[in-house]
Amino acid sequence: MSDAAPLLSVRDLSVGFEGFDGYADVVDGVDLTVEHGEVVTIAGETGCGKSVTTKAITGLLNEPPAHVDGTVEFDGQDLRELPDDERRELNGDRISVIFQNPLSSLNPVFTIGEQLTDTAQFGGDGNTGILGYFRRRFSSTDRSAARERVLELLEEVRMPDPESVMDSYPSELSGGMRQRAIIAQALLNEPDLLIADEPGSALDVTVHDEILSLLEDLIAERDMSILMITHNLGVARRLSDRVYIMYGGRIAETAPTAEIFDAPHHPYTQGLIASIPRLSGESMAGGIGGSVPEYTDPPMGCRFHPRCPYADESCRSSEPADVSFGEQARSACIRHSDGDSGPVPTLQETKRRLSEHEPTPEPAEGNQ
Amino acid sequence: MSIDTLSFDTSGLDRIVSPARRELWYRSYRRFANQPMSVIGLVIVVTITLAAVFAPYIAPYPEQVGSFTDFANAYHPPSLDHPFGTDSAGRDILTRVIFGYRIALLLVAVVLGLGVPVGVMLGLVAGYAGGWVDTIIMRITDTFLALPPLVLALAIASAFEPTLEIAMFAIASLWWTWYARLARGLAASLSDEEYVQAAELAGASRTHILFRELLPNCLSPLLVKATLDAGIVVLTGASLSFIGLGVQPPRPGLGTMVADGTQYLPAEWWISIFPGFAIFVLVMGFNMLGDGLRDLFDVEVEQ
Repeated sequence: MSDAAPLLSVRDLSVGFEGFDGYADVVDGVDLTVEHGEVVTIAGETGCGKSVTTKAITGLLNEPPAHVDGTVEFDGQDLRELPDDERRELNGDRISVIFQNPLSSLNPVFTIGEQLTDTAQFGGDGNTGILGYFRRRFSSTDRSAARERVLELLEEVRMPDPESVMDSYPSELSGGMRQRAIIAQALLNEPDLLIADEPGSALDVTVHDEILSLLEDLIAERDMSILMITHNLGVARRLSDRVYIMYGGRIAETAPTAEIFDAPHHPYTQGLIASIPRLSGESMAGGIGGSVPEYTDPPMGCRFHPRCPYADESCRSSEPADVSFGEQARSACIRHSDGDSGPVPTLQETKRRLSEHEPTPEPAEGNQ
Repeated sequence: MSIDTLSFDTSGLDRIVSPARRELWYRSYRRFANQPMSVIGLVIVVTITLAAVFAPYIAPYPEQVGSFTDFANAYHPPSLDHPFGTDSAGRDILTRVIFGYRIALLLVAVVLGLGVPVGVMLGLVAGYAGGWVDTIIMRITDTFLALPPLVLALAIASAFEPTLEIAMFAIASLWWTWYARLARGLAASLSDEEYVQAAELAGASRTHILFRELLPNCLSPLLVKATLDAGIVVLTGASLSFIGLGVQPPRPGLGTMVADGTQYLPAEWWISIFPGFAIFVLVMGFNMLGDGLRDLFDVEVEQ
């Protein structure tokens, strides 16, 4: 762990939405950090709040309807306090984002070459004014220099036949090619922090694998921090230095990648890891019973307790505190601290209990 | 299937327009050409526009447009010399219809030329900015929208001296509202598209978002709307002229000519009927073209 301040530091981030069913408390007190040059993954099942967390970090949530609380510090600046114009300077120049769906992240009416050249020319340069914008847009030297860089980047992301891709519309490219174009676009202005929301997961398995090995190579070549979102533990294990496991809008556990897969502490993490199908056939078939909680009426106490095989009355009544397991690892489960009254969860024990456990049924809805 | 199958040497052409883009144009052309109605509409609009532009060279008796009188030839029914007949002053009606198209299309050009850019820019800014900017722009738009164009044009035209120019600006001063509404709705929904958010997160300026992300992506519905609207502008102008608040005699407004001819109905029917039919053909042309474009771009436009 470096001594310098982390590149990205999120403290006590909460996001909620006002809806017809009441207030949905989607992200609750999330703390996370990304060090310089570190690759960090947020993993969790669908609906655990990982995408909303990244949207809050990137400032994509409109407030209202969203209520965002907490600080998002990037390199010492609180992003949430920054005026819009300074924010635009950081975007693209120092922070880049890759969205999940490679088709909808590209403008359908311009060729790849045109829009990537725009990004190269204008990324992180939000304040040129209308006239300045058009002067640069039509300056042929500026434009062709930017175009050269786009070509270089397309080569770097191993785009087949980059010259003709430059003249193609997004609809004319395959999913893998679009994903490569988007990765190239995100890297054009050499960001310090890349935020990637499930890169390539919309693609089929073989192409997804190619994209992941491309990302591996890019991570090796570049001095870049990455915050990645995934529901795929394999991706987390393959690419990241450290993993956050998220459940029900809270961080359940975080640890360096090797540790979390060797010795998971939280029953939820243990359940996830036990659910990974293995060729030896020793995986349990059922996974973790139940589903992510209703955010308008989250479970009291630990949000995982309705599905947790260790849950008892104390899990319902009190919120679990973080328990530290070494310098970078912590886990939020009440069982860690009361070794006397029950077992400190172990992977084997969790596996055994989960196969017998029935999740607590949702409380019946009363008349409203 | 591409046009390159004809194996011409296209390397020179490729440098100007890439083969991918040429193919795209070609495919769009094929789709458009497969709709007979829209092709007919396009032919009508182009023919009438050309006739209007070159009216002095095409019209059989260009000297008879204005305050020309030849009472010996008045009330002449349609004949080879005067295919649409002559009016009460002995002027050739075909000539006056061709010049009338000139005025009608000038009206369309001015009203849409002012209304579309103003409305679209206001709408895009409102839709993209949201918040109080949106509220202010759209409430002002709603205020203008509450006034029927014909009624406001009536009021303005009767407050000033009724001329073609006054009528034009009266119509144009209201016409932008529909484009503001349409562009605002399009911009608001496009702002949630991932590629617009991606551009924002890539640090693009507001100018870039407006002109490179939002505007190009709402051009097709706007073009369809403008084409369908052109016919309505023609009708509005003709209505104003018909009740005497638009084009003033002796200038050859189509609506003015219809109004002038009504007093000679039904005996000298050609004085009214041919200018009326001319309005009908032009409006039909715009509508058929607009419908064709709508099918081509596959957009929905409220009418």
